[in-house]
Parts: sequence; structure tokens; C-alpha cells
Amino acid sequence: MFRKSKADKFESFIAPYERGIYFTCLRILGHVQDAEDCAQDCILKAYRSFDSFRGDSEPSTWLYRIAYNCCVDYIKKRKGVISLDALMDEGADFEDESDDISPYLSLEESERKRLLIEALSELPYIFRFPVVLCDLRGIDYDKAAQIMDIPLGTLKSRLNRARKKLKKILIKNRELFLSDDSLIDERREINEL
Amino acid sequence: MNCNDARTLLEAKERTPQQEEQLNEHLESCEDCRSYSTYRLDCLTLDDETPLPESFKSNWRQSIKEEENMKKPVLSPKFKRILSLAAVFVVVIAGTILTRDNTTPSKTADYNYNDYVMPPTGLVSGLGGSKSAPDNSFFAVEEAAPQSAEKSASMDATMRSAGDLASGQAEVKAPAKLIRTVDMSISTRDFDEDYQKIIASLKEHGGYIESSTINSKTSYRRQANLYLRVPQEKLDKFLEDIGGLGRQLSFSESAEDVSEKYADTETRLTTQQEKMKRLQQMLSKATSIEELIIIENSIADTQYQIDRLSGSLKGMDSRVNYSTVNISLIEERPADIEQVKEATLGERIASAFKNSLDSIKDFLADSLVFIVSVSPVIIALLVVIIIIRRAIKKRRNKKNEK
Repeated sequence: MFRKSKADKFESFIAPYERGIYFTCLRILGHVQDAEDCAQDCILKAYRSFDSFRGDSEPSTWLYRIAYNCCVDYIKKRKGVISLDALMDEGADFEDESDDISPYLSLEESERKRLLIEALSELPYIFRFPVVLCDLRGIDYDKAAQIMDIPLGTLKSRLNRARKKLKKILIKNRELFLSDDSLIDERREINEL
Repeated sequence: MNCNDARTLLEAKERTPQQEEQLNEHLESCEDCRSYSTYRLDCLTLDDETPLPESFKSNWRQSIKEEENMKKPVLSPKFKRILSLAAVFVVVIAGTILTRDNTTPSKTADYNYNDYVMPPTGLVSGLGGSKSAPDNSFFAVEEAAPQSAEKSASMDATMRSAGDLASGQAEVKAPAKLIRTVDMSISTRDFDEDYQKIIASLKEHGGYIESSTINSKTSYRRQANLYLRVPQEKLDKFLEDIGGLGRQLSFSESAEDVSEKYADTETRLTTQQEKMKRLQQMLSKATSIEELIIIENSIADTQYQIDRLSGSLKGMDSRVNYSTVNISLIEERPADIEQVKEATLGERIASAFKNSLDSIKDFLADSLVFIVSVSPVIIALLVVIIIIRRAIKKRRNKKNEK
């Protein structure tokens, strides 16, 4: 007569998306504790709205939309801004020193991923969202546009700019990542050549 | 294959073997696409090795359990439906019961108590002057008596002394006075015949009809309500004559002894009459205008008391001299007659079952009338409730999406 299994039903529902929600928050906010708080907030909101979810959209789209809104609210609170557009130009804006990504590619996978994580954290928030949703989560462009509530064209434009910025950061950080000894060895090899 | 196609294939979730081969061929020769492919793979597998924090896993589960416990237990939709139906059922039944007396025509006899009227000519024989029907003012006069008595008691000292003198001389001698009233109900197969017999017997014994109504609202049987006045000395004979008619359903007789009351009224009347005589004497001896006015006022009041008390005595005389017989004459149906015979168990069961079915049928009909009568109100309420619920839901969804 009295239904107390809503929590159990929800747990089964959310289980496949648990990691995705957490790491989306982590890669956007860049901080573990913030990501935990934000992801928990997101899941709680999803639970409260669970009864009203009719399945009109895919569960992933619905959940990531809640996660996106939670992250936006979190960032607004942290930065004290009203709109994320104000953060458009935040972050390093590098001159086109070099377009050559191959040095980054020459690194080991673990090193590359570490550089990528650092590069993401330097990316302005407004560019972080499309990269995390489309590149990291593998969400289709149209669904990502739906999640962010922006036109598809806007999403693609931001993603394009985001990737360019990311590339520049990766190239710059690759040099910083490498230790002095490695740099000396590399220069020695070049000189010997 | 160009770079755009290659990137599209790289972003596709599935590739055919042919597409895979083409893509690989392109990647071998295109460094840009190769680097994009590496970047994409790094992105998709970025967090594969990173474990989920245990604190996060347990915290959100605990949160929703706490949320669940804080909430009031939710009734299952099935139970909600049952409750709703039960509530509707109760409302319909209650509404039907409360309103059914107003909606259904009366199935029982309507007793039409007419005002106390003069007997029609032709039905009354052998009546003396004292046996005339009393006025309608009979009861009203009695209630006014104490006030008037008080008023007369506040008169001038000379008037009071005259009244006291008169009352002191009166002697109470009350003969036995009984007002007999008979109530009876008779069930008859021969309604018209028995009705005529009652009237004939009434005429024969010198009585008259005070009022008579015949109720034929119900289709299957009639009922006559007769209020008869029979000379008290002929009452027993009259009752004996009509005793054999039909089947007596009920009988009751009462006798009210009004001797004391009658004597008291007589005494008061005598007192007032004596008072009047004195006042008349005083009037003839009055010397001033003021005295004249006072005495004449007193005479008027005394005359009023005399009239009232005389009327009261007449009324009692009438009721004593003419006993009241109230007869309900009910026409029997063939089914009623059959029920008089000893019913077998089967017949009783069948009869009771049929009565129950009839009751249910009547109740359902009344329920339908009730539902139809309140349906406009219910429809209006439903519309309002639906609008409010939609508005609340919309607001809630907007809030959640934010």
C-alpha cells in the first residue's frame, strides 16, 4: 500500500550514469570536492524530479541537462557572475606560436591524459562545457546543444574554438611538463643532428 | 576520403568494416586527422582508470534515502483510486439520504388537519342551542385570560373591592365532565362501502363530520382520514356499529376529566357576572366624569372576561357533549389481504426479498436524481481543480529545470 521503493527504483535508474555525472562535474569544475558536491546536488535534483520524468527525452540527456544546470549554478556562485558569457574570454589566450601538436602526441598515453586534464582546467568555462560533453562524454552535437539549451550552430562554433584553445594550451604545457633534464636531452639530440 | 569525412567517421559511434579500412588508410597519411584521432581517444578514455570516490558513492545514496524517509508515505495509485471511489460513494449516499425526502413524492398518507369548522347542515340532528360548535377564538381566549386577570387586578381600589366581594360569595359545584376521544384505524377491502356505512351510522346517532380527507396519491390504495363528532351518550353504540367494519389495525380511547376546570371556569364567570352587576349599580351613582370613565372601562374589561369565560364553558360543553372519533380508513390491496393469512417461511422470505429489491430500486432512483442535480456543481469544480493542478505542475517543472 505505501510505496517506499522509489529510492531503490531511482538507484537502479541512475547507476549507469553515476560515473558520467561525477566526471562531467569534475572536468568542468576542476576540483574533486566541488565535483562531489555538485554531482550529489545533481543526483538529488534528479531524484526529486524523478516522478515527473516521462521519458520524452533520453535519460542521459535529461540527467546531463540537470548536471549542466547544477555546474552552471555552482560556477555562478563561485564567480559571482550572472551569465557564463562574461567568462568567455577568461583564461589564457595564447598567440599562435606553433600549430604543431606532434610533440604532444609523442608523449605516453598517461602523460598525454595528464596534460589534457591540466589543459581542460585552464580552458574558460564557456568552452569547457562543449568539450566535456562532446569530446569527453561522446554526446552527439544535437543532444549537447539540447543540454546546453543553445543552437546547434553555436555549439559547433564554441566547440571549434574550444579545441583550438585546448590545442594551444597542450602545446604550451607540453614544454612546461617536460623536466629540465628532458629538455636538455632533447636539445642535445637536436644539436647532434 | 577527405579530412571532413574522416573526422565524421571518427565521431561516429559505429563504423562498417569498409569504413574502418578507409579511415585507417587516411589516418596513415594525414597527421592532422591522426592527431585528432589520438585526442579523441584520449578524451573518451580520460577517466576510465580513475575510480569513483567512495564518499561520493555512499553520500548520494544516503541523501536520497534520507529524502525518502523525510517524505510522508505515498499512497500507491491503486489505493488512491480506491479511496477516491469510496469518497465519491459516501458523498452520493449521504447526499441521496439527505435530499431524498425533498425529491420523492410522499408515499404515505397525508393527514389534512383542517381547521375546526362548523358541521355541514343536514348531518346534524337533534342539536340544542348549547351544542353549537365553539368559536375559533376558544384557545386564544384561554391564553389571554391570565394577562387580562392581571390587568383587572390593577384597577382602582373600589373596583377591586367589588370583585373580591363577588368571588367570596361564589360556591364551586362541579358535575362530572368527561371529554372522550377515540382514535382508530381500519383496513378494509370494501373502501367505498365501509366509508358510507360510517357516515350513515354517524348520521343515525346524531353526529357530524368535523373534517374528512381522502388521500389517493398512491396508485394502489386509498386512505380516508375522518374526524367525527358523536354525541357522548351515543358514542359506545356508534363504536359498536362500526366495529364490525373491515379489519381493525389500531384502537385507542382516552377520557379527559375537565370537571374541575369546568367548575373553576364557572366560578370565575359567576364572579365576573356579580362584578358586572355591582359596576352597573356604581355607574348609575357616578357623580363625576372621571368616575364615569373609570367605571365604564372596568365594565368593558369585565364584559370581556364574561364573554371569554362563557366561550370557554361552551367549548368544554361541546367537547364533553360530543366525543371525538378519529378514524383512518385504509383500503386493502389483494397482496395485503393475502398477507393477513399465515404466510409460510418461503412466502415471508420472498416478500422480504422483494421489499429489499424495491427499496434498492427506490434508493438508486433517488441517487440518480441527486447525482444529476449536483452534476453542474461537480463539473465546475472539476474544471477549476484541473486548471489549478496544471498550473502547479508547470511551475514545478520550470523550477526543477532551473
